[in-house]
Amino acid sequence: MISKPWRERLTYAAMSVFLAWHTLALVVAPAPDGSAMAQSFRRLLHPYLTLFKLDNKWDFYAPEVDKGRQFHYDIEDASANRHSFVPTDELSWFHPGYWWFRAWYDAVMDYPETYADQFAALLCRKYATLQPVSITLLTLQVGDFSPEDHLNGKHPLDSELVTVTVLKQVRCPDR
Amino acid sequence: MSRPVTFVRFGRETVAAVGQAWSQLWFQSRPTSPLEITRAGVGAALLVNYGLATPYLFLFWGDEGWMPRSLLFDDTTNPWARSVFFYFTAPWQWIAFHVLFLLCCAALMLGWRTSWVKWLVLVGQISYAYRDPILVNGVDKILISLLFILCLAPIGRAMSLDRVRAVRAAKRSNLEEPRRHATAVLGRAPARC
Repeated sequence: MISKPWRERLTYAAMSVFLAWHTLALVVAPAPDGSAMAQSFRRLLHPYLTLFKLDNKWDFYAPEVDKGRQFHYDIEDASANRHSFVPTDELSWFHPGYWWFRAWYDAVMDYPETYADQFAALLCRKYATLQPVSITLLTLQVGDFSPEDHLNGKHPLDSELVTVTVLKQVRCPDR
Repeated sequence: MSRPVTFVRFGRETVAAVGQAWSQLWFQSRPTSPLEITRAGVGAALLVNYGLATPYLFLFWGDEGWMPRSLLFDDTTNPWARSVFFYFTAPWQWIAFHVLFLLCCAALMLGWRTSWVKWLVLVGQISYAYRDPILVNGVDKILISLLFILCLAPIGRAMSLDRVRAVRAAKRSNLEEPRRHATAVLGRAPARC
């Protein structure tokens, strides 16, 4: 049986070791990849950082602000009619779904070769009543928008200010 | 005084000062109410977030949704990135886990059985994050970091249902103690008449 003072000392020592370890992990996680010392620590801390999902860059509220873009998709039905959708228009700012769906649309725009097929396949199912033949995924990239444009009553997403890029056209299965 | 003795004393004083600074920085007695408020806030945030995500459970975290396991190229090859969803095979398992997770979030918010519920919430939050990394944003990362600290902290001892239970149990034992004592005294008392 360990005496009380020794138990307290051991607890203090264990907590101190953990605090030092955890603090080191929080410092090493966002360290630049080019640092050899940080990388050597990272190898040691990798299981801990990954298992508890603590591998953060601590840049939660430092987004890269760009000119803006919007995700669209067009559905071509069996009668060759095109139906255009702007999915972000259906989202509410007051529902966390705004962030979830926006994150997915960004992923499709950033990595169409990875996510477009699966995304389009689900759209084919979602809009089955339209008898879709193909889905075209598009990005509207906002161009230069000046204060003068705003004063002249223009909007960043006006057709003359945006560049439309076709991400991918996917045929619906069984069509 | 000789030089080595001075040097040793200087070393001892430095170590003692560092030890004192370390103790003052990390080991001061403080009320746990900020931790309890954080616990209730994190529990409420997770409950609302994942409660509203219920209709999209299979779309976001299911194998037939936007992120089939085949697309999880990086995280599944990393042996340390684990999610309980990786082990599910039937839809009822997703539903059962989601319901259990929501109940645990509510329990964490209210401080009921906090000592083990907090670990289930941490495992759940990490599991959702690794099953669909696309959905993970800054708030999720902050919540995981807070949850991890809360798991190691003595939460649930104040401003919680656990506290209510502990107070009730203490009152009950206080009430029972004199009765037990009286029974023992009466049992030893000689019979009259």
